[in-house]
Amino acid sequence: MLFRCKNCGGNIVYNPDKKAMCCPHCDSLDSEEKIEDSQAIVPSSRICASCGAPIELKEHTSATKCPSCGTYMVVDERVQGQFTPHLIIPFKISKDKAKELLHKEFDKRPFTPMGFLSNASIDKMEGTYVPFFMYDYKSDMNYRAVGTKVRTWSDSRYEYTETSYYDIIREMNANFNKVPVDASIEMDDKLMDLLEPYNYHELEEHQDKYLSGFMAEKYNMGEKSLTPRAEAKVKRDSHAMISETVSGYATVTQAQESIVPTKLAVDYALLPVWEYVFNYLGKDYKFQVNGQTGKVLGETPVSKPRVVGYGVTVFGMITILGFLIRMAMLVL
Amino acid sequence: MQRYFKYFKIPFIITAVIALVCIIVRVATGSPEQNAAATNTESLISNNVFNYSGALTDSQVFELEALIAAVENKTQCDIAVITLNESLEGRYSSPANKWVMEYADDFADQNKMGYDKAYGNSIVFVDNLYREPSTGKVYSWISTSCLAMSQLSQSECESIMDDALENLTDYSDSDDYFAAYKRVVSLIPRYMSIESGARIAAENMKPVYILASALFISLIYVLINWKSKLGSVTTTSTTYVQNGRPNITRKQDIFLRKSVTKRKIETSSGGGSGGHMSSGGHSHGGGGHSR
Repeated sequence: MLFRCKNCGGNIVYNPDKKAMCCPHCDSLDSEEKIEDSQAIVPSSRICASCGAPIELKEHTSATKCPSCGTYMVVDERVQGQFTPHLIIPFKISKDKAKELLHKEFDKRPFTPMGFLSNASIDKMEGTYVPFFMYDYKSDMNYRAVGTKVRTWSDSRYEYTETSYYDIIREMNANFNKVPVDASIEMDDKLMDLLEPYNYHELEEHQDKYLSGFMAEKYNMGEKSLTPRAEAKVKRDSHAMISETVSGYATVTQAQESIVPTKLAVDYALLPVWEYVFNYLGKDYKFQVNGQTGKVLGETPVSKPRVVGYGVTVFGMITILGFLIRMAMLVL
Repeated sequence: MQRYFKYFKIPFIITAVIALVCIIVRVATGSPEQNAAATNTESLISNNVFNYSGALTDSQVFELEALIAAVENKTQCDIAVITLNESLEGRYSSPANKWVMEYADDFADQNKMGYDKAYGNSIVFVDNLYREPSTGKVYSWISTSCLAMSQLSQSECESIMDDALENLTDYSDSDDYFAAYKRVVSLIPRYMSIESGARIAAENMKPVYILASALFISLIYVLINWKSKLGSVTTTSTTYVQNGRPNITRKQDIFLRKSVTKRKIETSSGGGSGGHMSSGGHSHGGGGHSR
């Protein structure tokens, strides 16, 4: 499907700044009409409803852009039925804002190569809705340990050390709401974890129109196969919560910890991510911007000639200053 | 290139300003002022080095004399360097480590040493290479009087000798007495604060140190900027927890037992010392060294 402007016939996209469907051609707001695909459904390709060019579809792509005319389209059967997302956070950061955030984060790094974040390369950046499963869990925690507290004092002749031993007992439970785990093979798990947290107050019921103007994927694997990752997150956080209640001890030994997570519910959600890819010396460097909070991630490439040039400059400046200061001090 | 100059703009400006200040200081500071010449006409000695032990060669004595002449002018003190190789046992009633002190004090008094007047500003350094059989040690002393006494404390005299004589072991050919005595003489104005701290620091700041620290700092700079951090974790243990905290159903810290150990405290005591009077009745300060 695609969204067409009732006023001018142009392709309407979701505008994060205006929080509305907006026609980039005639600036009409909310003038969209949904155009369903008319041709017979072929799994791996589509004909662009706007220009008629063929569009290749990757296995999990649920929204994409026509490479010929730039029209954004949604792959109907990948957002329907079992693939209907329950929830979505629409893009809140526009492309311009994402560019600005990337510049703000990385411009101060001196060793990035020429062309990094250049307009030519950054304009190709696309926003992607990444599929996530969100797990609700109840976690029961049980903890026992022996802790010691040490007190020292002294009189004129002796120094005394008193060691007190305590039985530490903690029993607690916690309800975890919507622990997110990405269901995309292409997206790096570690990066997706670092992009957290999203602000769940802005979670909405899914609407297809939010996908217009962006890339999207359906979930690549089922929620059951991702349960271990969700459980690991719950266990990690549970362990940390227990640790936070144990304080003031010099040593803690013989710790016995039991964490029992129980899965309560799962939601399928799409979360917004801007991804900028920069190729340097044959290697792709990926940078992510959280499409809602604006958090920026990524490891910048290092240009060796620049390292040498800048390093030598710093060395030269300090050497010159050192000798000049020495020269001046010798006559004082 | 544009990015390079933009990046280094402020460091370049700072470097240029500091460089300018240094050059102005260098140009504006004239030659050091001339100090007053010696005015003591009663002194019984005309040279400064008394090489009784023969540890120095004639040419070394000559060179040391020249160094002392310059230092005397700078410090306004009459300076004598005496090398002995004889036992002083039985000559003085004081303990073994003070024999060299008595010797030095007497030397200054008997020769009416002083830069300004007789019994005036003087510094006498005695190094007795003879290993006193009663203690098995080699003793040295720096005796000071008047201006030198007020400007060189006992601990400063000891520091001079600790520094200069540290490589000397025994009366053997491998010991470089000449280098050690030169060091003693050249350290005197430093410890008397005649030379400014800035100048001493500059002399210690050898070119190789400047290059090494520049290399070190630029390496640190490169290392800091090399590895760009991927991003930091911005979730906490309770980010996804309802109400932002767990329900704690039981939280107990039950006291089991305690044990006490005790350790004896070591104590120490210290002491001090001041100036003294020579047999000739003149006040002397200074400090000793043994090896």
